[in-house]
Amino acid sequence: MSVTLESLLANSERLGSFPAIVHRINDAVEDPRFSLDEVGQIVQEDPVLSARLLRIANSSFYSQRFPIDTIARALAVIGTKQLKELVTATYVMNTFSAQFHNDLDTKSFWKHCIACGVACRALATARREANVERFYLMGLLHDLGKVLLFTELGDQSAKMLKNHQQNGIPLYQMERDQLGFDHADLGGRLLERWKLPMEIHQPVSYHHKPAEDAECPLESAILHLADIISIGLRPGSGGQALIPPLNNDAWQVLHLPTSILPELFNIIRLQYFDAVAIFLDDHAADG
Amino acid sequence: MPVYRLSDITPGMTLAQDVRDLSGRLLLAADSEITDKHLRIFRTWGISEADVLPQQSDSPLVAVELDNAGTESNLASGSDELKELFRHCDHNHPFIKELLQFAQLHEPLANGAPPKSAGNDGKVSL
Repeated sequence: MSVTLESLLANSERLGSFPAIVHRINDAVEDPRFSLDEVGQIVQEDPVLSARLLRIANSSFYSQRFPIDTIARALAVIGTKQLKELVTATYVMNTFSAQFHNDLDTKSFWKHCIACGVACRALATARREANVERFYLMGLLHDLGKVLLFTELGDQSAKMLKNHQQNGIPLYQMERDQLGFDHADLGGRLLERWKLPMEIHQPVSYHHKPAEDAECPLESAILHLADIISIGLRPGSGGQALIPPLNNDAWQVLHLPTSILPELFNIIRLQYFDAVAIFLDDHAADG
Repeated sequence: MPVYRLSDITPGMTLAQDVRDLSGRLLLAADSEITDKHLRIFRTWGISEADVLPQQSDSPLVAVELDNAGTESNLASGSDELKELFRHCDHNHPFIKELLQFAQLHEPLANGAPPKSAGNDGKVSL
């Protein structure tokens, strides 16, 4: 039986599902009857989530002058609208990593994703977008399609990766040739299935063809460029993908002057280390 | 030309534009090298910022990074890896040029965070 996008999506159930608290927080944030305090109380039911939010509020993501030591203050700084994205980011990494294929270097994978998330966020900030955390989430989740393919296809996926590293043929090209779709398509559909908003899942589908995204051209452009930045800055331990071809339209859509790039890359570097410490190394400091 | 807050200006920097007081009187002309005395005068006259010529390290952030930049041997081996990573890039594109240049000057993210300087917990200070 040949593999289809639909059949892979059906199997994605095996990756796990979001715990109830995620839905409760999302519902509370959307419901105007819930006060900030009440949202804070739900958050505090999960000590891991609470600790993480405090660390985020105190990190270079927010550059606060004074330390933040209560959830109420953390929420006031981060804002409830951005809370949803950070909660989702927390749980995807914690819940789904456990189900990844044994041969996948999970840490390396997430490091690339975190770098991409931070880069998306920084580009969005440079463009003065509101709610930059959704850009972080978009970057963080953009390659889940790769994971699903690797988990389900094993050898075939590994062969394509090897071919890519030896011959430089873009991975998405081989996937399209062999399967009829690529990891971006699959990833976008997975996020849609998880009911993430269009501004997050659609750019994921289009991140290797950003010019085709009619509804979210800016988000797609940002994700496309952030992916390139995140590979160029080398977060992984080697043996990773090559930088995909740059789509010049995406650069034009972004409309940022070249002169800000060195400073932007610096900020991305700093925030990357903070984000890894917060999202990946909860238990011990790591190099 | 970057405009710096007075607190970030150090003696030895060069003015890019004239500094005048509130009534328009010239305090120091463009192209002058700024001394300690000038900084005191600026403070007295309530000057809060000045336009200076770009420095070699243009921001506190970059100063930290230069400490951590690759040594010659690091750069040599790093550059093989980079040549490979950027194999299919258009090296003439301005964005790619900037990214490659930055990647050549800095350690890979994989090598870990730069050491934190004393008296600063690593956060950006405002």
